[in-house]
Amino acid sequence: MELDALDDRALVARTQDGNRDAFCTLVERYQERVLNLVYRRLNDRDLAYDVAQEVFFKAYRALSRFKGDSAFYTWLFRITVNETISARRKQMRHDRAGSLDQAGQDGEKRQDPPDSSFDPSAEAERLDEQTMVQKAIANLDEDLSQVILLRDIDGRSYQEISAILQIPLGSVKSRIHRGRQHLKESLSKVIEQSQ
Amino acid sequence: MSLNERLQADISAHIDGELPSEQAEKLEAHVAKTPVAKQEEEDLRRVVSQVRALEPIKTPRDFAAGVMTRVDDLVAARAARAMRPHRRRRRPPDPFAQDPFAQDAFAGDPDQGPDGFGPDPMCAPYAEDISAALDSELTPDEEAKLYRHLQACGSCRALQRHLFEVSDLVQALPRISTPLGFMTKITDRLDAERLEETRANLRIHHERRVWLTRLGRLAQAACFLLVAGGALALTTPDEQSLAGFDRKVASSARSQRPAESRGRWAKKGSDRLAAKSPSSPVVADLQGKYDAQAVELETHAMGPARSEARKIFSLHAAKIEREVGGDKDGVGYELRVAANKVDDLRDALSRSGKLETPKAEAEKLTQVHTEYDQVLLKNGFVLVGVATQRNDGTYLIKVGDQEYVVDKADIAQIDEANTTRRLKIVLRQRD
Repeated sequence: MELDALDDRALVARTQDGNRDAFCTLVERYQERVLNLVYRRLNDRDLAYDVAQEVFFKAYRALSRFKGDSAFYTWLFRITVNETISARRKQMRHDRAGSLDQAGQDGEKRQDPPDSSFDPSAEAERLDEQTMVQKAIANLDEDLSQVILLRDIDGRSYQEISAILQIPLGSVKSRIHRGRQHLKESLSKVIEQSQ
Repeated sequence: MSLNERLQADISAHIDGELPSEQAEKLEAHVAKTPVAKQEEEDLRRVVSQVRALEPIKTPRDFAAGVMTRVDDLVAARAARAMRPHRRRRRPPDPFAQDPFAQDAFAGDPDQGPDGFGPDPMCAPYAEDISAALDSELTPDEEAKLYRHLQACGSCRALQRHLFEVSDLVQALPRISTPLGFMTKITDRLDAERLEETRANLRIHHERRVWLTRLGRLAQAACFLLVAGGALALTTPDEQSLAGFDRKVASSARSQRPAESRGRWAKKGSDRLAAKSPSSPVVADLQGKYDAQAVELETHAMGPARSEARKIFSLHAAKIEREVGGDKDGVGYELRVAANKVDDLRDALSRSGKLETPKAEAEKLTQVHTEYDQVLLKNGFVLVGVATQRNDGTYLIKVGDQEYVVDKADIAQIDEANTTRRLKIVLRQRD
């Protein structure tokens, strides 16, 4: 049976039995989501790669202790959140002076080149907007950014977010609300321009 | 007019479709007739759309490969750990009887047998094999047999996982750094063995060595003259000359112990040595250098480092004392061992920040150490220092704070000095 066709639970069981390829399938299944979650918070692509790899590596090391009480992705995203918090703290300690601005440029300069049909000024504006949004997310408080990322970047339901972060459903709702209020203030210029 | 926070939260949740239908209908009705609420909803929708419009970054092609490389490394590291000798231990018959963690590993398994090895007594030998497999002690056939069993036996798989966990936990324990003196104790033992070997050789070749030593001294003197003359012809005026080195070696043989600055414990050792010291200028010179290093260390070493240094010198003073009056080569060897230990200790202390030796003093110590080598080696002219090849084919050799320029043709051999981590340059005798 193709590994790709197996669900997470089966792949986890096979990994626990020593099947390396089963874990590789899990990595391929979740790598993009994990990477984007980390990147949106850290706003540094290279660092995000490293942290995302660390997430999977730690997951592998801890997989023998994973008893299947929750869904694999819930468990994996919990590791992701914890690793991101840890990386973010280090990032803030080491790059306190202007790291976010630099990281914002990093995200900007690595955008794929536009094709010839693009209007350069519109493209520049779009990139500016994206950079501002990215920076606004990166500047959110930790507890607010987690829920915003899980909801708006990864598309998790409130129930799933509650399970991942292990907080009550009401807290998820209020944090999402407060996070959006902060973003609304930070992005007021962008919003005005788009009106 | 501003909206209350609860209403804002409801609007946010409504955008996400997370409000119950009845509550959603009420909210929609309220928003429709309240311009401020309507504005709030529009603003929040724009925020959400801005965030969701962020372009996802693509995972690099080698991302999963990178993760799996680390996973493979981990697996290999586990295997390597298991390859270490002496790992295999015979486990007691019921190893998990007192281990609540292990019992927990089998908790809830209705098939679990009372012995902790699975439902079937036949599993017991496999439990032994699982442990052995962790240590890579199974033959391929045994491994294959175990693997087949593991595929069919859930409790043994659980045991395997548990043993891996225990191994991981043990590996994850914080490592403690070796205490100061740990290496010294090891090198002491090694040195003692090496010394015994040297003594045995010395006894065997004693008669022969007496003559060789005399001849060697003559050869050394001739070599000094030849090399010094050659080096003088080769060196430029602003460089140190080998003639200077000759003088330094000659003066080292006459050097006196630094009596006034000698420390208490260093003095004790050297005084005992002096009381029985033979009249040999070589031993006298070594004794002086030994004292100099002892004083240096006593001056700079502090706390445990000082105590450690004291132990070293006490130990070696006792050894030297035993040797005095006996074989002079043995005495020289002991002194040299002591010097090397001091050197190593000083390095270790410097690295640990417990000894801050000023650069000039460090160089002085290095020079002292080098002079040991000069005096002790009888069969040829040897420099121990850092050699750098120059464009003109000569070598610039730094020994302590001295620099010598030596023609390549005069170098018979360049070795890494065993005990000093520097280069040993053996100069060729000129015809």
